[in-house]
Amino acid sequence: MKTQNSTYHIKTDMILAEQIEIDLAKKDLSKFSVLYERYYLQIFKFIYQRVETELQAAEICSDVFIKVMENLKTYKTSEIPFASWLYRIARNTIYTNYKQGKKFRQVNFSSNDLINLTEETYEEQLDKLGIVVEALKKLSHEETELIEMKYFEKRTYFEISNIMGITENNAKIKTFRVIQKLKQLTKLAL
Amino acid sequence: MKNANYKKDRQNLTDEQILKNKDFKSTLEKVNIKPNPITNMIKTWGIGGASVLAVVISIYFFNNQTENNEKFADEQADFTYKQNTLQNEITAIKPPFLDQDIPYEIFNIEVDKNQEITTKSGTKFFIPKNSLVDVNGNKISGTAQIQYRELRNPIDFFLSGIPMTYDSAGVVYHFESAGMLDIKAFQNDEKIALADGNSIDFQFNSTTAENGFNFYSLNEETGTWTYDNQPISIEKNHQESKKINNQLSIKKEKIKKPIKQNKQKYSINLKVDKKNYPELEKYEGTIFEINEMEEPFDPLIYNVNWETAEISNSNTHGNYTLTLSRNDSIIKLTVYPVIKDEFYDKAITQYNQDKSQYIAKQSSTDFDVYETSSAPTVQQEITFNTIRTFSIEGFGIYNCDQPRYQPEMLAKKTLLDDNGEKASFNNYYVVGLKRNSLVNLGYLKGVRYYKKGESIVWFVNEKGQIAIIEPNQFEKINEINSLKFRYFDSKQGVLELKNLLKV
Repeated sequence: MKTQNSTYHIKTDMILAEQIEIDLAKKDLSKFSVLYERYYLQIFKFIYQRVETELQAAEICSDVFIKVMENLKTYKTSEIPFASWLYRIARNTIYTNYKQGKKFRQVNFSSNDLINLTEETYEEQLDKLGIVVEALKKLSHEETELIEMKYFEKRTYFEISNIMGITENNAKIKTFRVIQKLKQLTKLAL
Repeated sequence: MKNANYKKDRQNLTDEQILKNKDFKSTLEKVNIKPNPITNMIKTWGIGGASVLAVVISIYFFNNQTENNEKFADEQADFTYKQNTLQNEITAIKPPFLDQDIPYEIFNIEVDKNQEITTKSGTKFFIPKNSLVDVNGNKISGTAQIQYRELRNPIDFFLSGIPMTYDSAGVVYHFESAGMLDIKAFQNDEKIALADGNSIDFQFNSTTAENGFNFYSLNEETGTWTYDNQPISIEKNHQESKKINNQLSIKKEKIKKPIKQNKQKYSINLKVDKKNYPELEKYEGTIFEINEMEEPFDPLIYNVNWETAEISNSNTHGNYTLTLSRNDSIIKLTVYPVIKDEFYDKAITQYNQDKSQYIAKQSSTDFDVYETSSAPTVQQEITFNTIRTFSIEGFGIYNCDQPRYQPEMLAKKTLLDDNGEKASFNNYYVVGLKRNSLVNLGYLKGVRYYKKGESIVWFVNEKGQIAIIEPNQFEKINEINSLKFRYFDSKQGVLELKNLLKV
């Protein structure tokens, strides 16, 4: 099949090599170690970004990989990239813990992240960071996730769409709406 | 976000610190592969052990049996819901109206003879002789009663109360079904089971000819579906296919203006078998553009080596379904034919010539449409004669499905009844006319509906009434402030839904 106009270039040999690793792991879970080694760090960071402590992140990360291995046979390469599938499971596990009150949800950001977000929401001033933080607290879980991924983790809309299971366009639209909402909230706070 | 901390400039962990938490061995030890629900099912019935589902390759299996005793339904489907025997066990299956639950066909069989059973729908299944055991695992003799029903459309799914959601690693999907079956066996009103090492082979009359449907079994206690990784062979009835081909050969071809390729969109250039689709061979330089309005397109598909590519008619006008498959996966894309830039002028010239000739021959002027008066009949017959062949190794509920996301649109509107009274409900059902699925969602701030095609949305209230939202309101959703619905009693409501869904 000939590729035409593909926006995303992903090396075929890498995908095929990983597909072989996944197939091997489906037959023998001990072979999953290769994938565990490859993705542990980034999944841990994704989780740590959303919880309070290192210990909480380690526990959730362990749960995520257990779920991944338990459900590996249902995973299909054609449906979603493997990394995105891991992120989705991590996202769901974090959310479940948060909803059940098992782990405290924390939104972490740097001063620079906040300045960038403030510039988006608050046209002139950079001395109103506190107001933006207060506005952030009024966002829903999903809205907060969009801000976290786009502004605090600098993910592309393509990545966000894969992690959240929505279209790229939808990710853009939703993020735009959250920014609009933040603008409204910050105006009200003035 | 409630119950959350907002933390600025927390010190990041170094990679080394993070990697200290890594422990693959310990993680692996905690992995608990869930047992096959069939095992649970048989265990529930007091019989140890179960084996894996097998796939039957040959569709001629039944013709080769030497001791067949073909059975048809002994009784018309007048089965009343057996609350005494089933209610305590089937906790996850909750029919909304017991008096309208989907009835079972009943077959009384002699257990010491091979039995080939043909159901009302045309599905056949084969039960081997001496394959049934009682709750203690002892082989039984004499006669047994097989109860069988198929759930073939959204109303069947609704009335049966069988859950249609599928949780894949924490992500909830809604099943689109190619047909579901429920089979039970009894002797003297006691449940019996299939003995270890035996299987029931099915030639299942599927509701769709499309590929991409997987096979799942239901744990009736928990309501969870388990994916079975085995492929299901799909065959079309030979005799009926021939009839259909004859009809196709008299299909009157009309003329469609070629569409120029849009280079901003994803497209696929591949050779497919176009013999039944002369319109695709008409113009040189025809390729397929992906219709992302139907499903988002994942460009990773380009990077997979697919073994086969098949084209088939799509339910939506002007579109085709492209099915790409390899040994471990099948995907379907909605595509439409377009003409490459360099061939477009030539295609337009040809189109204009064809159009002139067509006008000369026909009084009709309905261009730009491929339609025939016999098309619905052809479609219906193709659907009716698709046979999915598989085996099961325990009685229970099985489904040929593909998981789908929930409807993409959300209408946040006040719900008003006939009298203009506001109402709210705990949950609701959505059916898209283009999909054989039933989506049951909790009602929060609005109702979900499909962007493309008509959506039928209804609620069931505490009095057992069905409240149906007038479907045409979704077309003008931005112009209205509320969604109006009408109450029906359960029987009238089901009739109304059947009418709306054309089932």
